[in-house]
Amino acid sequence: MKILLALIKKEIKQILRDPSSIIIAFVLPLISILIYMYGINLDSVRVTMGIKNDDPTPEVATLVKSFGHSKYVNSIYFDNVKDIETAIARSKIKGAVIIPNDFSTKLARGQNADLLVITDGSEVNTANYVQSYALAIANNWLATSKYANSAKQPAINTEVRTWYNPDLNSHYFIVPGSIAITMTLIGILLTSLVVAREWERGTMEAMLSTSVKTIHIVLGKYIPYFILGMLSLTFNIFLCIVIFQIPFRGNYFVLLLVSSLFLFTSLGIGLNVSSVLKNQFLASMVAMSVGFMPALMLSGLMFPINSMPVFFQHLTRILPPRYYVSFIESEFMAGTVPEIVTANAIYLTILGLILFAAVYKNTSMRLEKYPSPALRAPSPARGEEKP
Amino acid sequence: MLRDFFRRVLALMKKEFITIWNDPKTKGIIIGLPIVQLLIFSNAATMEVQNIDTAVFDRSQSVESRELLSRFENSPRFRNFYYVDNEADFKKKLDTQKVQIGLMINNDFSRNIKSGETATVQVISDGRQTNSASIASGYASQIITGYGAEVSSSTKPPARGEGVMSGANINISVRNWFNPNLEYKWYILTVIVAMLSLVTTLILTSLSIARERELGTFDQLIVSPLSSFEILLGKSIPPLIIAMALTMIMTGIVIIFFHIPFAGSFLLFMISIFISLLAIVGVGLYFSAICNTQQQAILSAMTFMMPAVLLSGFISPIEDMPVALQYLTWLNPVRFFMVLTRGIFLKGMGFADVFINLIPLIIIALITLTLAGRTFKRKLG
Amino acid sequence: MNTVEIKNLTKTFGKITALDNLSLNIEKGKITGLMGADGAGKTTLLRTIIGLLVPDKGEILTLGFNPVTQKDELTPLIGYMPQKFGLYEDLTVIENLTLYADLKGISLAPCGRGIKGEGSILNKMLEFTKLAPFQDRLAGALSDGMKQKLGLACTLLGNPEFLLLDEPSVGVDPISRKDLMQMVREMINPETTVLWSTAYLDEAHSFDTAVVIDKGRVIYEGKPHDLGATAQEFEDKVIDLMGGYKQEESLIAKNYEYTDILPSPHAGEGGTKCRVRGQSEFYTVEADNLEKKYGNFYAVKNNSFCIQKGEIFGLLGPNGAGKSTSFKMMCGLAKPTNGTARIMGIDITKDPEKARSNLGYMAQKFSLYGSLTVRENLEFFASAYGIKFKNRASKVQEIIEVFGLKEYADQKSEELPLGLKQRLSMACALIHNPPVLFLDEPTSGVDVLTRRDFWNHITSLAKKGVTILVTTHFMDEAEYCDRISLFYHGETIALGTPQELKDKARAKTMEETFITLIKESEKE
Repeated sequence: MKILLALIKKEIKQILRDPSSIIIAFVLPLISILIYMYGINLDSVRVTMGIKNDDPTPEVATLVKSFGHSKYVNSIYFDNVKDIETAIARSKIKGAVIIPNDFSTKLARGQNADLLVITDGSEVNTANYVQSYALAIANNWLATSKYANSAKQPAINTEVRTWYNPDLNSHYFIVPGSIAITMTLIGILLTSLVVAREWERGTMEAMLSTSVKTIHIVLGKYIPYFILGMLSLTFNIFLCIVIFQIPFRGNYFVLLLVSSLFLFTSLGIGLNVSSVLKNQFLASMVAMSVGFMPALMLSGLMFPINSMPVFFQHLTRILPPRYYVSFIESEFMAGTVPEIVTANAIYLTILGLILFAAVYKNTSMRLEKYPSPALRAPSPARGEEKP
Repeated sequence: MLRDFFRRVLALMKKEFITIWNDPKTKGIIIGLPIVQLLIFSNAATMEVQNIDTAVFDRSQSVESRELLSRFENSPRFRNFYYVDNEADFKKKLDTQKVQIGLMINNDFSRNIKSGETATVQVISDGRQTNSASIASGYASQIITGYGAEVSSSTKPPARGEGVMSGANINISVRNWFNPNLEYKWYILTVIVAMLSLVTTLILTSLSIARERELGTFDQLIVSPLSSFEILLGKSIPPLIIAMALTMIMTGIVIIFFHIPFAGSFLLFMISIFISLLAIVGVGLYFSAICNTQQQAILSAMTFMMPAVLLSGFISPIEDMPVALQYLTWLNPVRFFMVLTRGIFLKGMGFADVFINLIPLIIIALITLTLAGRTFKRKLG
Repeated sequence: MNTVEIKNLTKTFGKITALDNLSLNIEKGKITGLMGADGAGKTTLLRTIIGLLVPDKGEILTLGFNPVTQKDELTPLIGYMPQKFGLYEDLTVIENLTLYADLKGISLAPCGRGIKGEGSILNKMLEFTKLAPFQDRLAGALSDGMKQKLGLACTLLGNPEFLLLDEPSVGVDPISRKDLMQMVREMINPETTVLWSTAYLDEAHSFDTAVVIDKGRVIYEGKPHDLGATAQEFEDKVIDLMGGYKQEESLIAKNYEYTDILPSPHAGEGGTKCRVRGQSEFYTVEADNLEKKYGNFYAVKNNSFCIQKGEIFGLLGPNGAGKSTSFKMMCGLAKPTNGTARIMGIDITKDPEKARSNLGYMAQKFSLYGSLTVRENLEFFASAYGIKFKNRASKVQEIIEVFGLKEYADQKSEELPLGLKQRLSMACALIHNPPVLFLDEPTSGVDVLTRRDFWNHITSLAKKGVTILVTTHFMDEAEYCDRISLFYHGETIALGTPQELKDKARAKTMEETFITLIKESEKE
């Protein structure tokens, strides 16, 4: 116990001496929340579109105008298709609408009128927005135009409601969800260097010849960074709820509890990387690849897990951010849902314990790998046989 | 003199290569890890919404409602259906994220359809993931509207008179240029290639000088007749070559295994990647030059990388950001890197457009490399 | 009664056999000195004895425990000081001490007198190490001698039954070396066994038992006095045991071509006047009022000297006197706050690159590329200093042979034992035939044979016209210098030939001279 306390004290002093880790624990959350708040928008994105009208009737002119009035569309008028092509190739516009010259005639006859929509397929998301905006604007226009009378009354009306987030504000889930990415980064990066550094600087050899046991080394690393991580996490949540006013419907105790479980897994990943590789360069490289990138791509924050191919859906199960993202989004927006909390908490605990066991196993108490059991302890009998 | 210069730079480059390349573990991590990540992320990351699980509360239990639900069951987008018979269960399914959307059909559904009145179906989407929620409910509305159209044409008597058939309608016909089927993979692959090259290059360079400082070898380098400029060259070329090779390997995989057509000029692509990576090398070396320890270097690289990736336009378009942030992205080499890889790869961007995007990258590279070179010696104390 | 019993121990690393069927007993309550050439297997032996390494074959019993299976029982009883002692450089002196005390489970506050109270272990340690005034300084900011003392203090905590010290006196000045020895002798009790690996044979001569190992085998085990009655005789005998030293013509010097780059025209006609001596001879290396100030503290003050072509100039002084800082300023690694230095007449602050191209520099701390092999390191420095590609291979091969690095040529340099690392550093410094050589403790950690060899090269090179600035902590080596500057508290306290200094101190040996002059200056 005394040894452990000494190691923890040592680690905390080291953290305090090199302020880079403290700075990172508080600066990174701030930058990241600012970006997710103002730089990222997954809702209705504004796009720039080109419009070319070949049907010079006054009615159709109002359609062109309604493109101009939409708050989601910046419209630019074109006279020929060639210009549209160049504009799309240069990413000046993300798509274009071409109204054919028989458009109003067909509508007047009560027929289906074609509207040609061109998108820049190299940016799939915006291409989808272009399509759906064009459709929505055209249909709205149709409903209020003089052709509306002949448009039929729908037999079934679809009433869409969005639960938990009636304003449909993506920031309400993306900002809390981003905590998962920030905490993965902080948890993994800080710890991925610390054990490697002790090996590189030779302090490990001196430590191994004292009464220090594996468990001391392991906990002596876990605990200080856990404290730092929790401080950073609390700061993160404070920014989220108090400064940026993200609505929180859950329970603070539950939030901190599950967050601490998540932190536990992140530290485990970082410490594993560090104790296996014993080299700061390799450790940071691997930490990036198993930490930041999967947290961004496979956590379900940006890309829905349900839409992945089955194999990859299973793959995400071994990654802690998945559970945390699912938990924190729900905790913020739907309040404490016992099933979600327990399921995610259990998974995180299991992962955390597995990682802890792995750190324990990978913490070598010697300067080299333990050789095969046959060589471990030469039995006296074998020794005596030899002359 | 010039020969001395080349000799020294070459020697330093060779040394850098050996330190990076000799260790099989390092080799595997630098080349192997990005490729594994490329394969995983490109297959997994998609914004197309599929495999939607649905909770159904059918109060109507009529032929019509079952007919509507069978449309859902036949749709490839929808996967599992959970039929519930009370509101509490319905809510629970949504609460616990068992399902992404819920369908609620009122008991007057069948009656309304038969009587020609408008029937209502409620679609409830899970706002904890607004983007996939709205896409999923969009699909649901489509199916419902489609069924509605069929029902009305079969139940309503055809309107008599002046040849007005089923009414005026707008048909949207879509052409998706550069990616006819709007495959998300085409988009995400170019993004991932750029992102992985970024990560590798940044870590390789940001640690290179900091590590020498920590181990004391940088003194030895400074005492040698190598000038700052020579050290700068020797330090930037090897990571540049390794990152170039990595990017080329990844591009090859994208073309060969993912069958994505390469639309542009390969030469332009090479030049663009070279300059993009050079700018990133500059940023990395600058961090490395100002930091004393590897920890500081990697943490500053991180603090740069996260915003750079998120503000590169890969998740949400730059035009959509607040104006201040839009200006800020002019400093972000990753932004131009992504525009270039995507533009040349998928759109066949021409020389003039490539050049415009290269200018900011060249400026970033020049500034960061100059700063890094100057900082080598200023840090001597 | 033996503390360690080793039977037929073999340990290999890949192709290299570090310990070869070695058998050895270490007697309880005695101080045993472990000697041997670089790469003989000393460190491996120490590490294996305490279970940090696992042997391939053979049996070890340390304090009655098998270090392979019973490491946990063993470690609380031993004190081990590795070569690169694991001080936390970002912790203070007192924090390091308390940390290691806690790690060893020692109560620092007996009878509630407080950890820093009268007669506490901590106080005793601070007293012994004379570190009390520096107790709140970061370990990283201590001089090498102080670091070693602190490391030893950490190792001695908890009165271990068995003390293993891996070259604790490397890079330590004679006064501090005496302190270290005294610390060990006073802190242990008669029951304590000490295994002390050292390159200083005068140190080993004073021990109870001497063990000499070579190529992983014990070649001598017995009382040091049985080998030689005086330290000098003992040294000669040990050298004989290790294969004997034959002074041969230095191949390095033989192949050396003095390539004198003429001083730049800005430096004056035909050389510069030395301001210190006021003569107009040509001086190849000059320090002109060098000064380095950190805040209010002068690390180096008014340091001026001039070195002639072909002269060996020794910079002597205790750890922390400012030798390394002077060195760093001389080669442009640190900016002087005042004054300047000239190499071959070129001002180091004005044209550092040009000045340095005349310079071969060997840093105190091993600072070559650990992940490169010996050959790759040499090739790199050869090219960095502008040796043509076509000459490079032969030059590198030559230097590998001259420095006896042939067997190790393709080994990673980080895996080399300390002495061989020093050899490689020296080889790298010499590869481009520089007219000026700066050697910062070139021989620390090097075995006695190699040291003699080093100095053979150094003196022969000087005869060829190479100017050499050298620091050392081996006082016998100081005798090789043409002139010596004795440095203390950032200032020169004596300057002259070794004989002049000896006369001044009225002492017979350099070591006495050193101690006397330092003590005198302290009184003033």
